[in-house]
Amino acid sequence: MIKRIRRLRKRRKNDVLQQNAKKKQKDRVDGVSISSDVEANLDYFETLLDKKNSNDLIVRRFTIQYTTECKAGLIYFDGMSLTAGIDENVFEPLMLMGKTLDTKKDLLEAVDQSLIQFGDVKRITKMEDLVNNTLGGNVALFVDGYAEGFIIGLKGPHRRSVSDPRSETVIRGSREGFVESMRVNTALVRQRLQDPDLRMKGMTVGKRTKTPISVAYLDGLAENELVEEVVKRIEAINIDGILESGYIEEMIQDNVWSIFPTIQNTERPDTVVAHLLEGKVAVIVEGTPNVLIAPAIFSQFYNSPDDYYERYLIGTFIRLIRLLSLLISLSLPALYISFISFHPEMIPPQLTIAASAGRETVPFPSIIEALIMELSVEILREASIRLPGLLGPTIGIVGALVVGQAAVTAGLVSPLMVIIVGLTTISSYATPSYNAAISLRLLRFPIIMSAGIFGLFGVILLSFIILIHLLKLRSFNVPYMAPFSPLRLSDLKDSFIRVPWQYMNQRPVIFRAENDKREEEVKSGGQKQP
Amino acid sequence: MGKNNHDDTITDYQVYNLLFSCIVGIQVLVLPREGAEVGGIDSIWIVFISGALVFGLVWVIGALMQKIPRQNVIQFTESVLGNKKRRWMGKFLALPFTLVLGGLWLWISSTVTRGFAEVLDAYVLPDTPQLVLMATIVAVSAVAVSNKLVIIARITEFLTPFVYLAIPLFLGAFANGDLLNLLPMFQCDWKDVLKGVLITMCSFSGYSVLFVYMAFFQQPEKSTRTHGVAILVATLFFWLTVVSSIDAFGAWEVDHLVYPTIEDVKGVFVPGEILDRFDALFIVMWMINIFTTIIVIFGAAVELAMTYLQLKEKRRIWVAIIYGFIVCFLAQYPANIYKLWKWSRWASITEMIVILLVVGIFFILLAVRGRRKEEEHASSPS
Repeated sequence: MIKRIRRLRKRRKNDVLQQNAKKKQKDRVDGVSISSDVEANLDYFETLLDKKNSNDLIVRRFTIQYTTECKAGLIYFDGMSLTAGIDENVFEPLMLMGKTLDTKKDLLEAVDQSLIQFGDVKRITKMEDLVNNTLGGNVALFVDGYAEGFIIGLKGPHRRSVSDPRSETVIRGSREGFVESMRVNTALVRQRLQDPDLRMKGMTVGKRTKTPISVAYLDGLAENELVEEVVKRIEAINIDGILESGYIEEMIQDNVWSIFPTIQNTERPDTVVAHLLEGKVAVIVEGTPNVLIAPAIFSQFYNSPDDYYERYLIGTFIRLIRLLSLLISLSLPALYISFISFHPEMIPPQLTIAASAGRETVPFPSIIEALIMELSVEILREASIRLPGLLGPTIGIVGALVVGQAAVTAGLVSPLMVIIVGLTTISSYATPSYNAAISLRLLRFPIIMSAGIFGLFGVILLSFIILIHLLKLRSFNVPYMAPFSPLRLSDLKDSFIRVPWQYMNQRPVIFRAENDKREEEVKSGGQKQP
Repeated sequence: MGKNNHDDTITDYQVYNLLFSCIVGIQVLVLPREGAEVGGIDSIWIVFISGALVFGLVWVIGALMQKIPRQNVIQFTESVLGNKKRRWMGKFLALPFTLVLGGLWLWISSTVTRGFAEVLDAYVLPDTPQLVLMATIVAVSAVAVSNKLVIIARITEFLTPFVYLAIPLFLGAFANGDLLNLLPMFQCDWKDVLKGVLITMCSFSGYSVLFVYMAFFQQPEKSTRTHGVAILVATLFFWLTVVSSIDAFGAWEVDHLVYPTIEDVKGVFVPGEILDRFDALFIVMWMINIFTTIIVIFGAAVELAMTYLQLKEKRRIWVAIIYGFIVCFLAQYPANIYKLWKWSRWASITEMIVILLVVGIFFILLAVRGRRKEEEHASSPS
């Protein structure tokens, strides 16, 4: 009883503390107006951001030379704003050029229209907006005697430059990948899609991180309800911080418990543009090169930009190979266990004999052997990613070769199992999408166990359950297994095959684009041979 | 977000797959024997008569359900026999239909489950207890039927094409056989033909689920043609197994084989010796189809209970689990495989009788409703 009372008291105390913390955070900036006294504004900032303990906060008091002298204050964070730009475009004109102006404008008008020599300037009356913008890297300016402030968009370009997308390499196609700056990313999209209908709806998510987000879509092409739904789901996110698009992905997807991704992420601007042209929506998040695309269907995850850039026959062939790899990566070890342990009569006798001879010294049943090998490969894979620089692949190869060879020589695993696991591992790398590939890698383990218990019957059973799950999944109201189920014949043109562009005049029906035709007629531009 | 209404209905192609996978199930494995038992070689053409008669039954179900679009039989009974003041009356009078149809579908599901477990026991997993196999089949089916009927329709839509992979095997077996085994035909007297028709008609079981599924059809008024195509393709499939088995073994031997279709496939040889024996592979392929058969019929029983009890969607899983236990229990009832075959045949005969009875009663109800509406129309001030 006493324990219960203590627990209740503790819980109540925690609740009160949490509420107070929230109130404090809200009270600090909410509803505070900018004062006409510049000192009061600067003091407010210094107190709010605790100047003594924030050594990157720069608060500069200076005098504007105009018809008369006027006190002013500038606030920014060192390293987050362009220092050279501040000197050249703000300090220099305000401190030196004001007197030379031949105008009788009000000081604030003159600062806004004539003195600050920068394009992105906003006049702000709320302290909250001013604080948020300064925290985002912009520069805040106060002028004494005016209850208004300026936000000057001098964010510093401290990001890495555009480079190859590391996780989605292609043989043919653009070498540009997204970077961590949202503005650079939106520019990369806009450069490729110079359409006046392209919209980039700005939002901010994360109570503390205040991460900027752009929801990109083509107005008049993407279904209005889809855009509204994406925006609504993002607006509903209530979290203190967003550090990567993965946070958003997890919080706006349809089924949190599913192992399969229902939102695609990409590092490639051309992929984003291709999907926008199909009537989808992209979510670009500050601080990450991974852009989200919604809705997403299963077949999307084994498509690569190469398929569209190569001729259609080659594209189709590569896509089929990838599909085969997907099946191998999911089921090959399970099939091996089924055949060896349950149905040896199904495989030719020579193979059965060879497999049995290889397993003669192996002390484990084939299911344990497969699980040990698969786990070892997963550990090796994870280790090779974490190892620094060039060491990773080297250790991976050496580890696989040395450990594999030693295990076979020691009689711990059969040579056939090494081949099976090797093939499975290679196949799993053929899936272009990392998050789809990892789902299949994970599912391989239960399928192996199921095969170990029921043989082929077990493989079918589990595949059946996975299929039911896939058929039930939806991504923003689009059935995940479309166009196969529900069958949309016209959309099969770009599914496990790809037909020539001339025959893909219609946009995929399943995404319900407002305008379902790409053009009246997609023409090849080539001449027919006589 | 605006829902696309079409996503919650069953398309024509899904209707075809539903009906096809509901009919073509475990019976394919035993049909050649059952046909040959009575009709001998003549079962080759007898199967077409059975197909035509089954289409007749499906047609009457379709004709009835087209008159009550977007409603299943239970909803219709409740709306006709009850009214706002006496809603319980409709509920009470719908109870016998719920019990008869639900019971029938659970019975058919149990015979298919047991038959499947028998095949697995004989060819794939001889050391695994049958109860374990049945429990596993029912558990997986329960997972499937804990979803809406539209999802079940999608499952059949996705999986049915895999059934056609068996056609090359039947053709391969046919090529291995002897055409002389198919002769002489037309030796049966009319009594044997009638008996043969009835027995082969029993292989087409499960189609009464249309009483429930048709409420979700996108175009119920145009479903007759799709039903016809599904029955035709299923009949051709049955015919292919009969011809292939008799061609390979002769009618007398087929009559003495437990699973002539599997034995037929066993003899198929693949150039290059990639796979040595095809029987286990065929059974594995066939598993998919048997699963779809079970879930289509089992799903109809669950939907009926959901409609009658007006349960929320999240309760569907519990109905599926409770029904799963019933199916598992019923599946254990036949003491041996011979009793199972009899049990299965009786289930199919009962289904035909139930269809005729239900359709008859409902046409009378429709007439009553029509007259009542006419009277209301006449008495209302114009």
